[in-house]
Amino acid sequence: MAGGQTNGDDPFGDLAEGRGQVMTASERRAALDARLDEGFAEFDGLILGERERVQTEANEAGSGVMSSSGSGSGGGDGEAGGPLVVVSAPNSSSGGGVMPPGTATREGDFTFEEQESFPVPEDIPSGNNDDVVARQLREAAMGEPDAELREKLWDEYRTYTGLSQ
Amino acid sequence: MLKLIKPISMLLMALFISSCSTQSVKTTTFTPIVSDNTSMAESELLDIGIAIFQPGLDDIPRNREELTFSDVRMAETYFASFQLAQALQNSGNWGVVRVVPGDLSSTDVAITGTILQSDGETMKLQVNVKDSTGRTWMNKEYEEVVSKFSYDPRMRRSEDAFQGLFNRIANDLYNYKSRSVEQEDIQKIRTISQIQFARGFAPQVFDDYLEEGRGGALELTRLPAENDPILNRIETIRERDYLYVDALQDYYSTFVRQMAIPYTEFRRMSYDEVMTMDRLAADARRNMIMGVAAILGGIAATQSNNAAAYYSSPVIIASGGWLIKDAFDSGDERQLHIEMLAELGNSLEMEIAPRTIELEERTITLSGSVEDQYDQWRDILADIYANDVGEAASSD
Repeated sequence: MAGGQTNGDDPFGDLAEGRGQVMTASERRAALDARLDEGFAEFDGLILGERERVQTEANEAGSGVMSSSGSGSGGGDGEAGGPLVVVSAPNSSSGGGVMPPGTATREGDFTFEEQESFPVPEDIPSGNNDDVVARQLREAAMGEPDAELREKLWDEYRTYTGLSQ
Repeated sequence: MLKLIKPISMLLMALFISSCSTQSVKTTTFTPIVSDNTSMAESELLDIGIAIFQPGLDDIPRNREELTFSDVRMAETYFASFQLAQALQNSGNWGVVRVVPGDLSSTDVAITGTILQSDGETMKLQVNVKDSTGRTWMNKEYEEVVSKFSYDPRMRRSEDAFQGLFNRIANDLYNYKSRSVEQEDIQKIRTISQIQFARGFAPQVFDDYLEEGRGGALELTRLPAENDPILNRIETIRERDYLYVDALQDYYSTFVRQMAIPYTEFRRMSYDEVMTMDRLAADARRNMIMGVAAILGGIAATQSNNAAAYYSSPVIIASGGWLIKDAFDSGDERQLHIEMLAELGNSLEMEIAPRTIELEERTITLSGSVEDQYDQWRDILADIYANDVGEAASSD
C-alpha cells in the first residue's frame, strides 16, 4: 500500500526497491508523484466504468422513466426515455478530467492537449462534439500508457460515439 | 345544570364555526425561478452541496402517520434533494450544484433539509443553508399545497407538481446571496472550502490555516502560496472528487427518473384519498360537535318553561343522536379510505423499495472504493510532506 510500505527504518525504503542505492529527496518525490498518478489512472478507470455502466442502464431503461425536472438548461432530465444527462453547470468541472497542476480554477476549461501523452488514432475526429462520457473516454485513452488497454478504450470510444458502426 | 349547558353549547358552536373556516389556497401555477441574467465570472460563483434530505419519520404528526409510508418517504428524500438541485442548477445563479451523501464541509454552500410532510396535496420541508465559514444563510420551513389539477394528465407538464416549492427555496437563496454576500465573502467562502478539502487529505499541512472564531465561524489564519505544490496535488484530487460526485449524480438522476412515473401516480391517487379523508374527518368533527350541542340543547329545553321548547326537546335530542351516528359513519368511511391509501402506498413501496436499496448499496460500494483510494492518496501525501520536511531540514 502506498505510503504504508516501509523498508526497515526508512519510510521511503520501498521506493528504492531494486535500485540498490539510496534515493535523493527529489527522486523520492518523483516516485511518490508517480504513485499518485497511478492512483489517478486507476480512479479514473473506476469512475469511468461506473458512469458508463449507469449510462447504459439508464438508456436501456429509458422507456420506464419520465422527465421529472424543471425546465431550463444546465442539466434537465430531458424527455422521457432520453439519454441520461449529468447535472452540471456550463462552467462545471463535471467530466472535465484532470486539472493541470498549478491552477486553482474549477472552470473545466483545461483542454485535452494539456494532458495528452499518447497520440490519437487517425480515425478519431476532433472531440469538439463529445459529450461528457465521450470526453472521459477520450481522456482516459489518451492518458493510458498500456497500449492494449489504450486501444480498448479507443474501441469503447468508437462504439460509444458511433464511429464503429 | 342549565347554567353549565348553555356555555358548553356556545363553545361547541364556536368550535363548529371555526372548523368550517379553514381555507386552503391551491393553485396549479407555481413560483418561477429567478435567474440573474448578468454574466458572472467563475470566481464569483459558489458551488452548492445538498445532503440527501432527512426523511423526518420521527416528526410525523400522529394524525398523519397512517398517510406516510416509510419506504416511499426514503425514496422521497432522494427525489426532493434532486429536484432542489435541479431548480438551483437551472437558475444559473450558482456554480456546480450536487447532491451528496455525506460530508458537506468542503462545499461552498451546504444545504441540509428534512421532509416534514409529503402526501400528494402538501409538501413541507425544513431547509437549512450554511456556507463553508459556518455562517447560516437561512433556516426555514417551506410549505406548498397543490391543486388536484396539478396531477391532471391533460395539464401534465415536465415540471414536478411541487416545482414551485423548490423554486422558492432557490429564489430565497439567490436573494440572500444578492443582499448579504459580498464579493470578498465569496472569495473567503471558496478559499475556506478549498482548505477544508485540503485539510481532509493533508491535515499536517493545512490544519493551522483555519481557526474557529467567535460564534464558531471559521476564519482563515493564512493563505496558501499561489503555487503550493501540495495544494496543487490536492486540487488534482479534488477534480477526482468532483468526478466521483458526478457519478453519484448519475445514480440519483437515474433513480429519480425511474421512480417519477409510479411516484407521481401515487401522489395523484394519494391526493384524492387525502382530500376525501380530510373532508370526512371535518364532516365527522362537525357532526359530532353539532350532535353533542343538539343533545345538550335538547336537555336544556326539557328544563324550559316554554311549552314549545319543552315539547320539541325529544326531537332535538334525537336529531343530535343522528348527527353523532353520522359522525361515526364518517369515521368508518374514513377508515375505508385509509385502507385504500395503505394499499396504494404498499404497492408503491414494493416497487420502489428494491430500487432504493440498490441505490444505497451502489452508493456504499462506490464510496467504499473511493475512500480506499483516498486513504492511499492521504498516505502518499503524508510521505511527500515528510520527504519535503526532511529535505528542508537537511538543507538547513
